[in-house]
Amino acid sequence: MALSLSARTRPRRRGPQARRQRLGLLFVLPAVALVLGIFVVPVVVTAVMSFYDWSLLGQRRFIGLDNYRRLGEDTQFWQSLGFTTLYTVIVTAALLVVGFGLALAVRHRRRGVGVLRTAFVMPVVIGFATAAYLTLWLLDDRIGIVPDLLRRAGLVEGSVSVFSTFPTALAAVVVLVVWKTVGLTMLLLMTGMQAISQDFYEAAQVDGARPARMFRSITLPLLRPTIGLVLILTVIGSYLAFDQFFILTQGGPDNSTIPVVYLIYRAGFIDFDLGYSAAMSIGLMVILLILTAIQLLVVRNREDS
Amino acid sequence: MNTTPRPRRLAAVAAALVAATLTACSNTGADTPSSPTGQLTGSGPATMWVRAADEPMDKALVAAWNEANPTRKITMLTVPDAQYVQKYVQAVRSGDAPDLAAVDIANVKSLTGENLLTDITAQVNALPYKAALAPAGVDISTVDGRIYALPHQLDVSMLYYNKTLFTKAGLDPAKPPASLDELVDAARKITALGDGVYGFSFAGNCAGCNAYTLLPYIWASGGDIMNADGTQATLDDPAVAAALNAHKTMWDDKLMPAAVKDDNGATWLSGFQSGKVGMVALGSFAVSVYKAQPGLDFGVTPIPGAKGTASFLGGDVVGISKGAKNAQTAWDFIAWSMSEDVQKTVVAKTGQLTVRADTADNSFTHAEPRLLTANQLIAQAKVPVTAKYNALFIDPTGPYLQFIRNWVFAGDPAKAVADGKDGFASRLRS
Amino acid sequence: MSTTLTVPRERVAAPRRTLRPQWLPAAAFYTVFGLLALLFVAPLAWLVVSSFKSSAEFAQTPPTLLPTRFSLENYQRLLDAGLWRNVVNSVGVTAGTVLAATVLSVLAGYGFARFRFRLRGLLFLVILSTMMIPFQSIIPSLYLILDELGLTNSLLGLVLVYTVFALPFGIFTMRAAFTAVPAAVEEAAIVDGAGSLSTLWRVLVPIVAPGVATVALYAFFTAWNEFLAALIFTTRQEQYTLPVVLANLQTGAGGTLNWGVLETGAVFAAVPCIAIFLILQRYYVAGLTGGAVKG
Repeated sequence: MALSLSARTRPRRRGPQARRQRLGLLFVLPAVALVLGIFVVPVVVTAVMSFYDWSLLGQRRFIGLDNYRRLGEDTQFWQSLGFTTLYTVIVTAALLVVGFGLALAVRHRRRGVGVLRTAFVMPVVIGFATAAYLTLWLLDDRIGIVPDLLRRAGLVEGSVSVFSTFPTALAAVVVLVVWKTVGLTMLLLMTGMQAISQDFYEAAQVDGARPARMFRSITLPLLRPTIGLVLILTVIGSYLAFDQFFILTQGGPDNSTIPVVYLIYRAGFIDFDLGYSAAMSIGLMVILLILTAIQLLVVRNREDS
Repeated sequence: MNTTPRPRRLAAVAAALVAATLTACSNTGADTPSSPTGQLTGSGPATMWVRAADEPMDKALVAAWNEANPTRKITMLTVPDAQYVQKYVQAVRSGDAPDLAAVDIANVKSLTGENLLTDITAQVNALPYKAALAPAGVDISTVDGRIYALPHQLDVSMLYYNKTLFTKAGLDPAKPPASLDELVDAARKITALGDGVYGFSFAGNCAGCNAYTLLPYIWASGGDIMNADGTQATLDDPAVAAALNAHKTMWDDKLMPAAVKDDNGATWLSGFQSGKVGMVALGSFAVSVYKAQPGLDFGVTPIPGAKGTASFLGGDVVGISKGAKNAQTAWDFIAWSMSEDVQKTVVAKTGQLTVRADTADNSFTHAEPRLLTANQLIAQAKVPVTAKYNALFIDPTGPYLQFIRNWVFAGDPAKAVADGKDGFASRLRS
Repeated sequence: MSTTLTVPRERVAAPRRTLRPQWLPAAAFYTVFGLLALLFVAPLAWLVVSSFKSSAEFAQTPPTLLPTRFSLENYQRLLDAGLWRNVVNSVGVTAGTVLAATVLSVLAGYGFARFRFRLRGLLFLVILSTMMIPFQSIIPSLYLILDELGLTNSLLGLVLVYTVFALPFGIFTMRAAFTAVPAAVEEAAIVDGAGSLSTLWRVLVPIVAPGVATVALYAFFTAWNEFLAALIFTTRQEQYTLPVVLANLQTGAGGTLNWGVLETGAVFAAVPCIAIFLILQRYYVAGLTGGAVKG
């Protein structure tokens, strides 16, 4: 191992401070170097590329702010950003509501609750691409079980093409995402709830408070940090959605479901325009940083007050 | 598993990464050493890329070649259609390009436009049967008079019509529609049969399908959707309006199934196959599919327009990558694949069209008159000229599909043209 | 994407014995949530069951609930098409990622938790900041850089990228785990004359083993499931991982999508994850919710 040599310079408990420092640096160095090379440097390169007309094949030309000017005029980018925002709002709300419901159900020790938790978390571990192919099949008009059941139940007649209208296409993706990720939301909220001291509830019970009241006055306020965490994770994750749209809707119907990452991919690897792709990336990065900062501030302020 | 890095190696790689990326910006030119013109070198075993949709015939060809040339076998690699150009460009970037590239005809300009293929003009000119090669396939592979690829595997789009339904509807099955008016009229009469029968069908939510089968309606109406050098869309062309209005009429008047609006290609073939659809435009590849369908009596005809007929020349051209290490093997394979014997016994035998007009006369093609029709269409078939074919016509979020849908389904030609102009311009700009 | 799984730690008080306010009668509770749980599991279960239909039955209208005849046709076709190769790729990339991410996270977590070196705060911040900047937005430049290094078209390249995906969570988890170990444990070992590395390996790692398991699991799911990077960074079919192969199965020749084969491919992609989760869910759940780090 690369580190064994230096590790032999065994630091005494009160050994020289400098030696101790260097040793710590050695421990973190491999990870830091990798993160620098595979993450920090690419971020910098992306920023540089966004000022170039840069083809995938390598030809490039400095064009200043042209890519950003183009971004400003690109209606598809702004439409896509609007759609991604709408999707994020819906997914976040759905995850919070369903996640809360499930967390309330499984937070207590109760016979069989472990099995329930396992069932709700299970979809979290499969990939989004895999889940999307599963959904594609379940919803297929000819061979899928969902249209078949709907027809059998007499709810619809004739063909069911979920991905042919915007509301149904979006709904299908949202249901997929909730199914696939709500287990995680549930776990986080559940842990947060379990961390709330029972004393509060006991006192409230003595005062004759009802469960709904306790939820509103005790659970919700004390869960704020957890909710903030869930919000940040969900918002970032939703703004970066790609797999499910790439596979399920392919941007349709009528280009109404194109997430921003799809445009970044398209500009770079279908149009071979890496410069413009990079400019969109920087735009997305800035938006996400701002959103995260706002959420952190809100959560912190509320905590202070 | 050699993909498992040990910490030492990882750290070293990470350090190298940081160092190398600092110089990355100064060193990204695509360096593809070009062989001197007219002289091909390298006669070792070669590699070849084919796209998934056209794999079967290439498999047969490569197997036959490898049997005859045990010392310089060809290794074939199949690439998904949708990612072919992207992956090829990436492979060239990383010096990993195959010797032979069999690429979608409509995409060859994406490769020649970036100067990724070897000039084979001298070799082609030496071929005695050069004039018999599918002209559109050669033209599209030619830049400034230099030839970079040759037709390899051909398919033409044509109009399929159900003879049984034609007879029932009082139409003459020996006289398929030869103009847009006749097409709409026939569709109307067939739809009138009722019982779930529709006169016409197309894949209304499939970009690639409509590039292949809807563009010919426009060409046959005497115009085009792009200018001659493929740098600008010509959505105002009256021929565009003629073709799309015919579709709009058939949609508005319910002469096609409602499901066509959502068909992303998955059920493109099945309506006609079930005998419930009177006419559909498809590639010649569908002949073998429909032939196997019991009780389906169908004919084929060139795709009609307002001013004649047209076809899209689909399939692949094959070229030699710039800097191919085994370019001589590659060329020998190309020449061999076009020889009369191979065209007749390997290509025609797998049910494919021959790339040479003078080899269409063979027992396999003669056994299927519809394929003979297809082979005769090759001479007049066209290919759209653009280096952005994928972005414009194949990408499901591209401008072409949206243009059609706005016109036909949303019924708003003005909006279709306005949005379409923006969409084409934006994707052509990259 | 996997980003949604990235969970920063949070202080959690020890779970209390519960008072159990019965806000729902038991019968109603089990009916409602039992059915809901069934709904969550049913798609995956039906996927696996259906993969044993013949290709023809799989594409039948209307669908059959259970295979009328047990058939391995879909599996046979997948294996004939060379899927084993892609399974090997996925296994290799995942194993490499798990190993690299775990080792690097343990080392770095230990370094950040136990040593006060210069730049410590800054470096930790840099690593955490990668959680805020999506990798999807640096794809173009990451592609160029990997290409310069000859790491596109290479499974090693994917391992490096996936390791970086897993590192922030891993380092965060391991730092918290090491911080929770009383300093006395380590000091005793050092007094006994053990080197830092051997102290770490023989004394500390066994104590923080649950945290290590969490990190390894997280890396496993990240690498096994990742789609976009694999789609872009690999060019040759022989290097595709399972999620990318699925995308290619979808676009069959001439619009001839074989549903049975596609969905059986999904079984290959999903079942290992589910199996590992069922076996090791204790570490996964505890780790994601802040329990495992306490050991």
